[in-house]
Amino acid sequence: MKRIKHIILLCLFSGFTAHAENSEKIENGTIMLDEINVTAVKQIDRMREEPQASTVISNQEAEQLGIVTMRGVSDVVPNFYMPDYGSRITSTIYVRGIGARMDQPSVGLNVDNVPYLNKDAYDFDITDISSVVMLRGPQSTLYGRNTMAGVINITTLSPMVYQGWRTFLEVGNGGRVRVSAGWYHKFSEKTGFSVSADYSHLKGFFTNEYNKEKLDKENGFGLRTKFIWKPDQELRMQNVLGLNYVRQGGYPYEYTGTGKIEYNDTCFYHRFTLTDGLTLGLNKEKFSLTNIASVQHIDDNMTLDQDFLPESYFTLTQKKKETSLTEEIVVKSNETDRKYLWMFGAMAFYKHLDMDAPVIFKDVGIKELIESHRNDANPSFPISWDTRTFPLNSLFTIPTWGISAYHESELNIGNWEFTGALRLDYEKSILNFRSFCNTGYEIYQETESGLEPYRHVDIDIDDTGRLRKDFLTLLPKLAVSYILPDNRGNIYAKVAKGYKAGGFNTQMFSDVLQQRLMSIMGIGSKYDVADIVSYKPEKSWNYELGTHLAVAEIKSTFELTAFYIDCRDQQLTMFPDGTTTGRIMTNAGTTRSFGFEFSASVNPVSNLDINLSYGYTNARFKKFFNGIYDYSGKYLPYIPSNTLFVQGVYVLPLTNKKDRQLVFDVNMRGTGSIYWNEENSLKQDFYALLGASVTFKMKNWEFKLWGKNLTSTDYYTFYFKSMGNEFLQRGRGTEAGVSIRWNL
Amino acid sequence: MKNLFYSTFALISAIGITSCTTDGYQEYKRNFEASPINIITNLETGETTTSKGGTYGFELNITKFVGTITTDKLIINNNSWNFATEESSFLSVDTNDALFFNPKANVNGNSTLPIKNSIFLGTPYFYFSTNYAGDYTYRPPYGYVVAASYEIDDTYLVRTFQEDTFYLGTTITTYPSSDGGTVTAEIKADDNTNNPMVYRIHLDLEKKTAALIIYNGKFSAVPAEPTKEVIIADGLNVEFTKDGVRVYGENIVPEVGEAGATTPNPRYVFNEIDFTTTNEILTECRLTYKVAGIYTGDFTGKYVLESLPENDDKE
Repeated sequence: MKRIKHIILLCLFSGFTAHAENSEKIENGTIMLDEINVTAVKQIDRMREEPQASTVISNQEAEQLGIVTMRGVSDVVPNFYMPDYGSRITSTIYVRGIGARMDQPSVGLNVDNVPYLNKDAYDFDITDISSVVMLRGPQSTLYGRNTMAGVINITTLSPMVYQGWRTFLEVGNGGRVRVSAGWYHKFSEKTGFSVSADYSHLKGFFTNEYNKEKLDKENGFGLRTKFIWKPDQELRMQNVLGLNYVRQGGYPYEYTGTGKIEYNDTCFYHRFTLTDGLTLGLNKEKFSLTNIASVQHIDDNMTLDQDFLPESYFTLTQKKKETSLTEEIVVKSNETDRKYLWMFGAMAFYKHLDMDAPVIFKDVGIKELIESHRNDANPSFPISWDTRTFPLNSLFTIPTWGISAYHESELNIGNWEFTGALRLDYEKSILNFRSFCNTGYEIYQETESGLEPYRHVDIDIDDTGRLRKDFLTLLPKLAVSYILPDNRGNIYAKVAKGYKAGGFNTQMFSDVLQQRLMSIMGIGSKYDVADIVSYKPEKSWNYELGTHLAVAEIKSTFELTAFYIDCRDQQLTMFPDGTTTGRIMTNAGTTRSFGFEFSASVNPVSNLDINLSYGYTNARFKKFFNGIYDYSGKYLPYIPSNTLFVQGVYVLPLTNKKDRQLVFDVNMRGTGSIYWNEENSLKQDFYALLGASVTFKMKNWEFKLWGKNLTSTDYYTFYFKSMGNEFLQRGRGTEAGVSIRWNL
Repeated sequence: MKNLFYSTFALISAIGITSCTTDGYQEYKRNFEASPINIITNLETGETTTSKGGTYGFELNITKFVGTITTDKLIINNNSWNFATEESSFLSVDTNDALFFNPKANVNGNSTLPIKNSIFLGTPYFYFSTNYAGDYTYRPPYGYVVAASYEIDDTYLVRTFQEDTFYLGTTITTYPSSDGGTVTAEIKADDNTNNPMVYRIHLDLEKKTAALIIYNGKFSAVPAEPTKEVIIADGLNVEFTKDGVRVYGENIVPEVGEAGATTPNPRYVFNEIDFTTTNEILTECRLTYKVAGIYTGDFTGKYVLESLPENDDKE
């Protein structure tokens, strides 16, 4: 039987258990250096002895700060910025100057060891977070594609650690309601099961002046089950199933011409995701083996009033169905007291995407973007379109698959630790497209008796094609650490290559088709599809010096990191000039980024914790000429030069037994400055948002009163230009609410 | 010196080929023919006429680079005048073409009517791929053209031309800039250019008119100016002289391509158009034009791609 179990099942690495046990010891504060081995599957050694800049957010910290999404993580991690761009589909993350709004992510996400391949699904609520580990800097060697700027590993609560009920209710301004309930049960020392569900509702903060309705309304629902089976000391199995559904309104983009958010066509985003991840672990004396298989399915629909104006120019719909399969196996040495440690891994994935993305031209769009251009070119023979609305249709099928193998070795000589790693990564992607349009117009001739029909034009476009791209890359990493005595931490230096896959910018197809239509009419130039929609991989060399310090005497931990990144073909999102409908993903020439990060967690007196994290990034174009302008030397847009988080948490015991407490939390989140364009002519200055909470805690429940942006600071999170019009997205004003947590 | 060079080159080529060719090696032949327009100038009176019909046939030994040219059904000065050259060497300047300098021949075998001061170029004509539906649909002939210039005795100068000639080259455009000044830009097109700007001259010998057709045309180098798939300026005047071909006109409202057909567009009126051939065998040209009173174009180009050597054996 045991043999059968060995054959059939593999055990999860024991570090998982160690992490869970230690998590209960965490009281307050964001932990920079961990006593715990988190992200255990791909760590050879203890966290604070790794040459790695990292931030760990515990369950308590996550609950203290109300972190339920990755965006919340952004507030506390230095040089990590995940702004709200108005929709859950846009999960843009910038880390140390690396990031892009569209297509491939620059930061990887794993939830309960399951990799999320599409960043359109990154932004969702996660209840009962056990820990969040943010690894900054390139993780490409161990985590592969699209982890050029880092990796976020989120672990949810395990039924083997906590048993009972966990319930939560929150209400706040903006019509906010959040409810969650989770049941965690350990049937035996070998088996545990949990199920949790959550619901959220937001009435909204921003009003569409056109119809006086709230724009950013949202309803969401999530369900998660976790099943753990440990048949013996060596074997472990974990299966996590997640369902998530969100339905939200539009994008609160303010037109600078009027200062209003006002548009007439429907905007919404609906998304359903299903993920299932099976982790099997075998833990032997000398090695451990972990197998992680996952399936993810995303079904979403984004519909926009693409002009964001009260006039009817055009709308965009993007309906997507994507299914991904991943399979990864990791083998590594267990004997952490040996001089030589090793790890081997292999990973494969397949992703299949079907997308339907029509752009609907409407009355004003037809008139001003098509008819007026044509009539300016030939006023003696003006035209009139047959209908006042017509679609430009685009269908895509994009299968992508990849395979990779990697290895890491660590050599320990005295207090010195030398690490080398290498990954070979191959990926292939095919874009099958069909762009079609069936419409027409009448040409008139000026005569003495007025305009008379001259000729009718039928336009029937049906273009199909296939584009292929494949990428092969080698990703090395070298690091040297000096381990400080008495478990005080380390000092390290590291160089690593980062990589973000190339791909296809499907949003440009509407523009390709529009230009094709106009070129048929004699007023546009044909775009070469392959040139416009394809973009190359982004590669970087990253150099880092850092230190982790734990000073037990003052109960404090510190982390300091300095970095320099040299990036080639950086992927940038640009809004082309003129009257185009889409955005371009383009590869800039070369960019460079340098800066530093500092984090501290200090316990100066009993019951008081102070946490600080600060990041500085100076990211500029070394060389970027887009064919019209030369942006060399300019700051990269959308990237904050400073991020700051300061928090003070004071616990006031109300009884001697400390079973009743008041917890006071005052925090400040600062971001900026941020340039909005390549010319650096517009920017958001540094701004700070004050938050605070008071929590009354008893043994099984707590009552919290909280507020964010208490000073109602005005700030903008996003700017863009479309059809020559400028838009800004305002940040939210003051948010406040109360929450009740009850655990049985 | 050039004469010596080309003679030496031909000789070396011949010797080289002869050296390489022995019994048992296969010799490769290529034959083709074409029926161009003949532009005939009476050198005594200066009068120039045209005739159509009659073929020039090339028989080539492309192993030995020798060949002959034979005409059939040529009508010159209302006479049926034909000739067959002696076998002589030829140059191949580009792939698959044949360039003869002064091959010996007598019209109708009459030694009093020698062919003199002659250049004969036979070349494939296939690099244009532009298609446009409508009256001026271009269907690539995928055949050969003959560009020739020769004298018959000292009496007649005969040059060949085509009813349709397509030119690639360089256009110098000038147009107003946004600050009130003038911008000069160069638009180059060769057989490596994607969607090149191609000029076409179409001759209608019956109506004695011509049309200038521009494919993928732009009047400036401003990226925002859309490329016009086709622009047709019809009803131009044609002149044939001993210097070559001239096509010209004023105040022509062009038809501009739109959705598979054309629409007249007075906004792009051609204030003036002047096209002239500029070399001996009429394969090179210069075209100047002015559009809408503000755009000017000065084009130099060729309808064959080779840089042709001079005929240094002219008498």
